[in-house]
Amino acid sequence: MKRALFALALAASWLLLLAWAAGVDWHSPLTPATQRMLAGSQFTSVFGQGSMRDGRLHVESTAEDFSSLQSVGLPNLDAREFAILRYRFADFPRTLELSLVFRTAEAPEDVQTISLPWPGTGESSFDLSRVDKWRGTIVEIGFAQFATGQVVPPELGFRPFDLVGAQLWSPSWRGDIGALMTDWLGAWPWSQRSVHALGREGDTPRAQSAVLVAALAAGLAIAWAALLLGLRGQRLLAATVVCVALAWVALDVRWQAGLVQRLLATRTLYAGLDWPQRSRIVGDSDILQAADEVRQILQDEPANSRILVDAGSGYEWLRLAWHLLPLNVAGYPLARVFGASLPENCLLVFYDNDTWRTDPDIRKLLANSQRVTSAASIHTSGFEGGRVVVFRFHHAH
Amino acid sequence: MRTEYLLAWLVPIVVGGGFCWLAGARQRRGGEVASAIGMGWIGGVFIAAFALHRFARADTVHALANAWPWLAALGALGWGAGIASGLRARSPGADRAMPERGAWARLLWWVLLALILTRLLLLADEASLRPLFPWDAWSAWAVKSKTWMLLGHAEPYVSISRWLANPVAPTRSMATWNYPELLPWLQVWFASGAGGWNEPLVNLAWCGALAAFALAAYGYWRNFGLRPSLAIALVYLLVSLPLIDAHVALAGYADLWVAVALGLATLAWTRWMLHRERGQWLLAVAFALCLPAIKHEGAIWLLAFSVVVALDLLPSHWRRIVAAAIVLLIIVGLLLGGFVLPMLGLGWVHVAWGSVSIPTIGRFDLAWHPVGGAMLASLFTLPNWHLLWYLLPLLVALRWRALVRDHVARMLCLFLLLQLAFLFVLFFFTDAAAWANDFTSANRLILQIVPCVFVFAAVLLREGGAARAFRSRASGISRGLLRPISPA
Repeated sequence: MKRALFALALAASWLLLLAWAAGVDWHSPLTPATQRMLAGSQFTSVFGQGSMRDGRLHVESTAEDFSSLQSVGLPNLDAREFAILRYRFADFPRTLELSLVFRTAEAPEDVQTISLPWPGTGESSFDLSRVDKWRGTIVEIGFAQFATGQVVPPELGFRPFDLVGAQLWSPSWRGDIGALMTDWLGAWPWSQRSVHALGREGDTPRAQSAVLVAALAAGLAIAWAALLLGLRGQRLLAATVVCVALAWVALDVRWQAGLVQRLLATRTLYAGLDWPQRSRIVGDSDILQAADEVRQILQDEPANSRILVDAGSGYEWLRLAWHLLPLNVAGYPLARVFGASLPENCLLVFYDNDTWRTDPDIRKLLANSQRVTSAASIHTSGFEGGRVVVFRFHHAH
Repeated sequence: MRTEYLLAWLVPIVVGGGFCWLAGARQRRGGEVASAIGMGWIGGVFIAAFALHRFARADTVHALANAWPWLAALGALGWGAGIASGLRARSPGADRAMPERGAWARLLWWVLLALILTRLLLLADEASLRPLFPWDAWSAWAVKSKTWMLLGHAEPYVSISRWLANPVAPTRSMATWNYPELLPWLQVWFASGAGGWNEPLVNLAWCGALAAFALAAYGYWRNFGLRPSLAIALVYLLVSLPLIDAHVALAGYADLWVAVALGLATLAWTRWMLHRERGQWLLAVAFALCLPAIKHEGAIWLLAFSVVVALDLLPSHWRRIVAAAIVLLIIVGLLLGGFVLPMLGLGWVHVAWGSVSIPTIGRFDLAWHPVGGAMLASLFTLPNWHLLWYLLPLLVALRWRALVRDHVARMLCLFLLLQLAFLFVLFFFTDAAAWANDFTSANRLILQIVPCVFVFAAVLLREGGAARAFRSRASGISRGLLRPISPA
């Protein structure tokens, strides 16, 4: 009798815990009262090219910037009424990141984007009620894809896939718990934040913490064991150890599954290649190409020439400096405080950055400097052309 | 695979393992081979990196080929001395490690070993495939090593002003030019073995660091008196921590190396406190001294370590007096406008009411920053640590009596409290609060002390017999350094 009561209390409390974690509205039905079904064939390719196949949208290629977008117009859909998004893809490559995009009637120019986990092969769910901007009347939704940021070179990310379809559900227990499962078990790619704090890789609103829920689930089991089974002393300690161990293993299985998914994505890019080939496959392949261009331009310079690089962002100039090694390179932002006290003949490299012609201080600094071009080229592609611009610094005489 | 790359992995075991074997030669209790190989590998890698820093600046490409015979000879001396010393001191049957009981425990041991190996293989696979990925790895830690390997020799890194002032000098510069150089030289060691700059093969060293620490920890915990299944369970818990795994898979940051060096220093120091083996005390000090050579905050951990080690050496009745005197001196120093503190790797640190000035880093203004929510989220809700921070207070509550009575547990607790106090001041009173709020460096600094947390947990989990055996000989601690207490 005690054991049956324990099992009942444990099951009930865990169910309530799960419902709390999923953000279930207690008044909502078990299954959605209203659904909007959107077959893949209803979507149209906005960026990239696609074709209809068996009710699906077969996405064949990307736009010029290697992104793709499929969308569908919705006739005045009330956001509050449809808070659960369900979506399904087939053959979705591991090298692409998936985002949901939508627009509202209230702000039709304002396109909202939400990162979603890799969709895999099954059906995935997302709870849109966690998204602040999912309010008012939705007039269009779509799915965007692009190579995983900072991980996959944009030109290598895409492979053809099918958009099978999407659904919008009214709130229900099934929908909320499905969204929770996708959040907890979905595959997220590595990001620069992964070495700082896992679970905070993107700005996507996330569900309740699985770690907290696992701890509470273990705590509930221990509490019921003490209250209903009357465990004390060594027996309660043993029960505690078992509960905590199971909770830990559950969390670890989830983490290890995520590691495997990430490894499979990494293998897609790098398996079977030797190091020289792999070293060319980087998320910032455009900066790597710029570094090649700079090397070409500076190939006749003395090996120890001081080179200062600048770019549109800290990430870009740091990456450019990294790719240029072992050239004697440092960041111009570090040297800027020294004004014109730069060494004669030092080289200034501007990547994807027009401050050399728009920033008055830098224009003044470069007033007596000389533009350097590749020995292989007769002319630069116009004074303002090219993503890489190099100057040899000269002081005023 | 190149023979040299294999040597890059094996020579550290020979070099460091010899000294670790020597340090434990007097009293063998079990887990000795595991701890000598695990700790030896990390120690050997550090020795190799120091040796390269001193002797390989002119030829980095052949650094390993030139250095390994000398290092291997040094290691052979260590092993020889260890074996000879062990033969002289051997007392068969004395203080053997706690054996395993029951078939279920043995089965559990094998299951956990399989889980640990699976995890390490998974991480090694990831690390061996991708180019260097995390931000600080390519913007700071690997810049020097990549440059030196591609150049074929090492050029010094200087401040940007010096670099610009003398444009013909063979110098280099970057924002983090003054970061410690043990890690870059460690990378040169593996790159030299690989035959050139090969990021995945260099990055595999991070997996080696975790595996070696796991092996060392297992050996030490067996030595402390833990049963094999409990020792390997703790190893599994450590290896399964997601943020540690992320630092291995996305290798390149220095935090894991700080964590293992600090963890090894704590393991050896704990063994010294338990068994009074001078060799272990020296190992602990050696690993602690490596900390500032890895990363700036290593100097803080070294300071905290020095305080607890010094307190441990004092006679028990002096400890409270000295601790109170230190606190009093700090208060008086602050009231008088501040005081300076010499810190290895950081220089003369000026501590005043409202600010701390560190020559190599800068000035930190002290003011309250409410980052409790972000810190709690980092520890208790984000998937960085599984249930570690829930379990630690639970374990302390359950083993409270052991903590109160056991000198070793108390000293480790004090060490942890000092570390946590530093992190508390750093995140709640300085601008580093931003690192907590944006979930960046806060967890990485916590990662550095996690191995110490596990050593503390292992000591709390020692069975009563082992704890009682020690308590009976725990008074008058300082005499141990001069007169080791023999077993039995």
